[in-house]
Amino acid sequence: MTDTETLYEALAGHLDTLGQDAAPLFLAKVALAMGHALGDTGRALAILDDCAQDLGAQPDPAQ
Amino acid sequence: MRPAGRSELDSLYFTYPHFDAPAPDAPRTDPAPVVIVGAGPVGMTAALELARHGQRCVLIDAKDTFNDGSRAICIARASYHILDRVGAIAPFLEKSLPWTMGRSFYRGRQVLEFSMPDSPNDKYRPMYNIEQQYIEQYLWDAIAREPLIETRWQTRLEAIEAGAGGAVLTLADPHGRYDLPARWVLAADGARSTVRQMLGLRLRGRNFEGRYVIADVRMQHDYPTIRRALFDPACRPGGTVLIHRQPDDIWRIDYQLRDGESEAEAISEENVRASVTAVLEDIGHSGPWDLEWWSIYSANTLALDDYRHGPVVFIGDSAHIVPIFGVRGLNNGMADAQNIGWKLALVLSGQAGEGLLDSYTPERRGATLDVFANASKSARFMTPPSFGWSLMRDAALSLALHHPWAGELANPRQMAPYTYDQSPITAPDAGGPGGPKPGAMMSDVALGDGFLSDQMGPWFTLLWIGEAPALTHPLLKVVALPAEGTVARAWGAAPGSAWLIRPDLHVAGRWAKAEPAAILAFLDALLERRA
Ligand SMILES: Cc1cc2nc3c(=O)[nH]c(=O)nc-3n(C[C@H](O)[C@H](O)[C@H](O)COP(=O)(O)OP(=O)(O)OC[C@H]3O[C@@H](n4cnc5c(N)ncnc54)[C@H](O)[C@@H]3O)c2cc1C
Repeated sequence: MTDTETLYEALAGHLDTLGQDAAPLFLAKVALAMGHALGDTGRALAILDDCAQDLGAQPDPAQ
Repeated sequence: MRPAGRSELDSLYFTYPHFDAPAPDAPRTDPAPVVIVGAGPVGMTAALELARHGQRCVLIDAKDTFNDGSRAICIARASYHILDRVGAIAPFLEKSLPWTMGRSFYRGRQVLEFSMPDSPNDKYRPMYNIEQQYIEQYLWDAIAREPLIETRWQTRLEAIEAGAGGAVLTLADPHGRYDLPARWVLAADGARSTVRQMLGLRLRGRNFEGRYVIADVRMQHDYPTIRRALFDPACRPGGTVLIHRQPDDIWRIDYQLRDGESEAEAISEENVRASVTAVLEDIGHSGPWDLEWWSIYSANTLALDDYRHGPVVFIGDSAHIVPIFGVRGLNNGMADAQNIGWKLALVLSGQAGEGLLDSYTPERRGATLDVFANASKSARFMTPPSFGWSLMRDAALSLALHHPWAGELANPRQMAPYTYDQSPITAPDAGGPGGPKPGAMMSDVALGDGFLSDQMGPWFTLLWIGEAPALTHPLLKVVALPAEGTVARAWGAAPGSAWLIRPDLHVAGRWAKAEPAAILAFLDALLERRA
């Protein structure tokens, strides 16, 4: 079992240390490396779709 | 472009020949079976392929010499097989620099070292570097020896009328204007094809972000012949640089322009010199260097929907423009030339129906679309078009500093020959005997005294494992290969296995328990396809 709280705290710590400018690159690396470690492309893609929700860019109703 | 004071043809290492126009009294208007418009590398290859199969052609070009500047420099294994087949290979092997690997660097640190597939079974290396002037020179030397090819330099196509049974070309040379009837026309007149424009045809596709300056410099520089890619280097923050070695101590440097950097300024001699100086500093070259030639370029993936329009067939850059990252521009064009060359030769000699030509577009346009797919991936990595692509590219490169799996995203995958498995003239694969699959280019095998590819006949070749049956066809050479022999072992094939190899070394079909009658029927069906 992943200890989500520990992960949450570690991410916050890294983001504070790296600062806003480096944050996107850091998170992109994390996503790619975690997806790779997961070893399941389908699940990784589903997680991406899930995480893209509720972030302002509204889905196109025509789609 | 060349440095101030030097003309377009004033090269540091290459002497451009001058070709006269046909003499004033030379016959000009006798109908030709084939006219090839454009004596660039692709038009010349097509002329040689037709001649190899005994067919005459008239080859015309508006210029009085070769293309200026070194342009395409990376020639792939498959193209060396083409040059081998047309009898032009010897000087290429002598001059060019073979290579097999590449290294990519991110902010000065190596993130990837890749090798292209190569083995002692391959007659040729995966890639060779040679300047385009030499490519044209060596093709021309072969053409000059060939009585079946009539070349007319300083001869410009000014108009073309194409109908069902042929075309009439209006040509102009220093002595006047005349009409030349032709049964077939190969349009090898390059990216700005006059033929394409006159027939009202358009290339379709897309343009990519990112513009590159390509500069050739001469310098004594000690580094092996490999592909070097520098991502986000100190000399070009945020940009990408490619470095290739060429013969004669010439080095090709491609560097990406920054967004908003003006093209006009970027290609001024002063700015090119400054940019090259920065790159050379970055790679630790401190010795002297000379600037030879430079040009600017942006990546496009553009192609015609149909490569054939009645009697007119498009080959090379006139039919498609591909990004140079995949080093496929010229290689792709040479494969077009060979493909239409042997098919047209069979139609002209009455040994195949015109329907055979219907396989040209699906095979060669298919190959172009495959190049597009790979090159688009490459282009997006080399020159990310937007925020998202750019961020993920940098994430991959940063990860690659410690994780080889991420470095693979930077692999340019330059060397997968296209498979004609969807072609109308490829036999369906009924779970074959192993070895190369239908549509694929035949893999080569080292034999005691040469290579399997050396055993091929001029037209079709049937490779048969074990004692071959008595089987004759005017276009077929049968090669029996010993059971338990080198090829049988390399391809894991049992006695009675057979492969039908086309003149361009692609596999037309393969059979596990071959029936001679069925193979002959297949070959005849392939040849007698009616339009
Ligand atoms: C500046 C530049 C840089 C390049 N760099 C690279 C590179 O780094 N790597 C790479 O792979 N590729 C590169 N290419 C592309 C590569 O050079 C081409 O893919 C290759 O030359 C295509 O050969 P071709 O024979 O189809 O056309 P071309 O070489 O363009 O030949 C066409 C010929 O047709 C003739 N012609 C045109 N119109 C007429 C007419 N109306 N009448 C008579 N003759 C005519 C021209 O004079 C010319 O000789 C570059 C191209 C250019 C222009």
